[in-house]
Amino acid sequence: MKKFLTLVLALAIIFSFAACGNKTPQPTQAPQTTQAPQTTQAPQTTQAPEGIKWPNGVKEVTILVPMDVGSMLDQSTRIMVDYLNEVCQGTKFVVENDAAGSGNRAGLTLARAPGDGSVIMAHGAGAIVNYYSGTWEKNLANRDEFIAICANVGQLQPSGGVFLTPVNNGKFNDFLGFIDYVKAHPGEVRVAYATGTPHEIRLKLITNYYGISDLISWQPGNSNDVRTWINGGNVELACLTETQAVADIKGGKVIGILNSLVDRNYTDDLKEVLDQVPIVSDFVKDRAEAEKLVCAWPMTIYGPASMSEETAKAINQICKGIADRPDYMARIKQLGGSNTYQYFTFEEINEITQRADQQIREIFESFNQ
Amino acid sequence: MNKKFFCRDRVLAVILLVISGFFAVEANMLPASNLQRDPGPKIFPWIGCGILALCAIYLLVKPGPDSKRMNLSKEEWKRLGIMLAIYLFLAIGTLLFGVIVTFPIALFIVSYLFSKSSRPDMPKMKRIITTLIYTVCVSGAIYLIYVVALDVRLKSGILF
Amino acid sequence: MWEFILDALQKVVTPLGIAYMIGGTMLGVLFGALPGLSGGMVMTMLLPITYKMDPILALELFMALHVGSSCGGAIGSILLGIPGTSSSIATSWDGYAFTKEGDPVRPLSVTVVSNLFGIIPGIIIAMFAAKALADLGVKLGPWEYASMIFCAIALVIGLEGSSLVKGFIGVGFAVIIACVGVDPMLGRARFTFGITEFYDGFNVVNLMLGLFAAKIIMMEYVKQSKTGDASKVKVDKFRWPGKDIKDNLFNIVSSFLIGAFIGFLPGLGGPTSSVVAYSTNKTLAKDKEKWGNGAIGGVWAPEVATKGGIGGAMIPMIALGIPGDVIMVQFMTVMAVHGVTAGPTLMMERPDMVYILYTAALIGSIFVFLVQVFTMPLFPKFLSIPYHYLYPAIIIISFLGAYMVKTNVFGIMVAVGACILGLVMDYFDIPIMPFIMTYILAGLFEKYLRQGINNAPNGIWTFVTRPVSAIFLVVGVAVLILNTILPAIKRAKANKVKA
Repeated sequence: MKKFLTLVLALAIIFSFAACGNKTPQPTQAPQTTQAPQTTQAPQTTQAPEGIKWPNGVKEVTILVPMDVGSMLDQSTRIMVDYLNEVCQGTKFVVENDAAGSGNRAGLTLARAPGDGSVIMAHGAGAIVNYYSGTWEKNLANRDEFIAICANVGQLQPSGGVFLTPVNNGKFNDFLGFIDYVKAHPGEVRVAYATGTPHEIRLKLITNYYGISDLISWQPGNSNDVRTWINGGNVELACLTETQAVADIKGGKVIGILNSLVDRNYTDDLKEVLDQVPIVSDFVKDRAEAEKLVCAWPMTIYGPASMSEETAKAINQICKGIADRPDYMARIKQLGGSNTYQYFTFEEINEITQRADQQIREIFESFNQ
Repeated sequence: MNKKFFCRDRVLAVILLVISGFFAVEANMLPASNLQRDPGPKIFPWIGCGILALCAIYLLVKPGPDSKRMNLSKEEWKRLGIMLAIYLFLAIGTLLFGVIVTFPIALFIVSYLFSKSSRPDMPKMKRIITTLIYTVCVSGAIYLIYVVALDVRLKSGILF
Repeated sequence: MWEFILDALQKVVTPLGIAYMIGGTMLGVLFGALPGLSGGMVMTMLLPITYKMDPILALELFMALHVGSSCGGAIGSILLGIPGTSSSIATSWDGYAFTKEGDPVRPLSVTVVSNLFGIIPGIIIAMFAAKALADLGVKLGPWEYASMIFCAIALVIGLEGSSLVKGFIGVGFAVIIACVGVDPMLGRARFTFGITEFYDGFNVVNLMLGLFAAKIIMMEYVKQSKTGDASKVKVDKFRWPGKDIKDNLFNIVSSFLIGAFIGFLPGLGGPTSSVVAYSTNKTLAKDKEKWGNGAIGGVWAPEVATKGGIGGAMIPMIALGIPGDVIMVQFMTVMAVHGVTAGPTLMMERPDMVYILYTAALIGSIFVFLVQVFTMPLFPKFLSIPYHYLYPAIIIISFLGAYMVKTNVFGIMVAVGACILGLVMDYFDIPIMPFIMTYILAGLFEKYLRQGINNAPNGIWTFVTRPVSAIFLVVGVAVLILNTILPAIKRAKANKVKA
């Protein structure tokens, strides 16, 4: 009996190791999903478009990910990497995780890298926030240090849900009501946000615009703290990531969404519920004014300052192709939340990066006076 | 002050005062919080420094025997130094030469040293060969499990 | 509910599912036992392969890994005095003492049975009361958290009975070292001295590897206390610890409650519950002098608490989408990959998934029990490996584990630094227990204390006016008096009598 059990256990271990051994997902095979989209298959490209000058001559491209293995940034970047490995035959794309110093060291590594496109980095506007808070030594938006190349797979606008507590607190029912209540009760309304995130910046931009940021009792924490407090009624308002936006909107908790005014490639379930929730920037009637308050902050791929615009545009063009691949888009959708891929031209992505930098700097300057 | 004053506990007290003083000064230079009611980032370092300072004062003035837990002979201090050097080699060697070069070398040295003390009668050549075989086998197993099976990326060092 | 449970049983208990669970359990136990590795690490590494897997099999595998590694951590603690995970630090104090006396099977049997006493009741509570408990859990704010951690630190201070001042020195060191990194409220650097790696602080796993694995093995070489062949340890089969259960019933129940309670508070985890359970039961134990030197109660408390936290941590994840600990983040990722979002709508939209998780945890705990029972004689056999082969391998694996925490050399440097710190502490007779336990708790204490003061208009008085917080504060102060002032008065009286 013992020997039989030992044999069973041994077989189970061997089976487990066999499963472990085959780790890299097959890029040409669509993953198993119970909700596979019914689309026609786009023709599979095996070579980069002609005339594109990257990654020609580069044997290995390292994509730095300034977060740990398994993080959302890591997972989303690996999908892009699989795509690049498929379309750029002859070049090996590898992910290198380096979360040291909240990614600061990865930023320094990128800044020192050669400009031939052999080292690039995936990150978002959160790193710009880190620069102003002192954690990062270099600013991703500084053209003398880095260059923004293209959008990466990642979370999409609209971003941030502005929450009402589940329990009817009798204080306000919508965003404009919140503004009026804060003005009437200065120092009383507790608003929670996750420290060091772009949501913090967006929330402060909006409250600054309405002249109420000094009247609010700010409650910083991490995402879990914020969600715990809003569910427990220990704050009156919270600004959180859009990962659970659909569930929260369906649960009737969201009183407003900070819209990016960019409506490319929303996921279907997000499109479905967006109409149910007022977009905060809509309250600001002048579109130009609204554009100052909100900004698309997509996950972005950056290169060192020494990279030429020509090389950056070449990378931009190649990465763009992922949106035409239903198999990869299905994998992206599987990441959950509002992960998707949206295309921005080289000029657009740099403009967005500069605008994000300006907004973040403004907030840090006004809150640290 | 005679020699007896500088017993181990009093030396510790002086060290604690220096550490607490240093960190208290550093904490004082931290910027205040911009949140309304937050006590700020200085409070906890001050608590830690305060605890150390109070303990240091107690150790300076207390009567009674000095506590001694670790008493090593000269030979033992030598062996401690050797092991510490190996650990430092692991850290600095990994930085310079990478994991794949440094760790097997460290494994060989540690195993050789342990073998020397547990099997003092073994001929030197035999000890070297058995340790070498052991190092190759264990390094190979670790490489298979970590790099091949678990796909851990072992970075190379600064030099190679 | 019962139809969901039966349906889940049918889906989980398939030949392939069982194979995955057995394999996952053994892998989890192995990773939990090896210093520097953990179930969380292997789950992160296996995450990409779950994209291709059936979601039910993926969840089963991850649950088996999680349960296995929670149980495996104690093996290294007991056999070598080297904790495999930060949750099993407390187990090493008493568990290793039994091994030194030649009987590792007794504490090993206790850890095996603690799976049944910890995991199964925790999952049952989660099944029936997840929503209610989650709603209660979120009502507790930073005030209650801070007061509870203050209470835990008060308990920890009392762990080292022989020299209170030396214990406080360890606490002071821990508080200062825990401040290195980034300010928990403002996100700004503190005591980093311009070194990038300092921004992340010092990972507790690396500290642990240095203070335990590296130092213990170094001192074994220094003292040359082991002979060529391994010591003759009694290798025996699993022994049902009937008498130990009877003698420690209060300990087991209280530790389970502590573990389950701390487990379902988001943001606290296994290390916190094992520390609190150990400290609480030591304070209340009749044989408290023996704790730390071979009291079986010192093995029950942290082990049952850690396992009780497994069910507890699932509660906020399932009910609210808030991970109870770091491992639940992995589960949420696996679920998200397969289109299932944890949160308030999960029970309504995908109750089948919820019960699959519960069922997988229950079956996983039974499998880990059986696996450990049958493989019990194997574990002490590790000790029969000659030390000149065993210890070098352990030290290399430990430092490799330190490297893998963030995949950089800094982890190794922290481990070496911690080893040197441990030597210095030994030289000056400063106990490590209060230091490492305070380090685990200090960062959380600062965060919740400052959040609590910042949040309420009454500031610091809110800690006293909120009932649950007030209770924890009163208990904490009482424990401080019990552990500090009373023994000092007793010692003074005893000295007076002697004189």
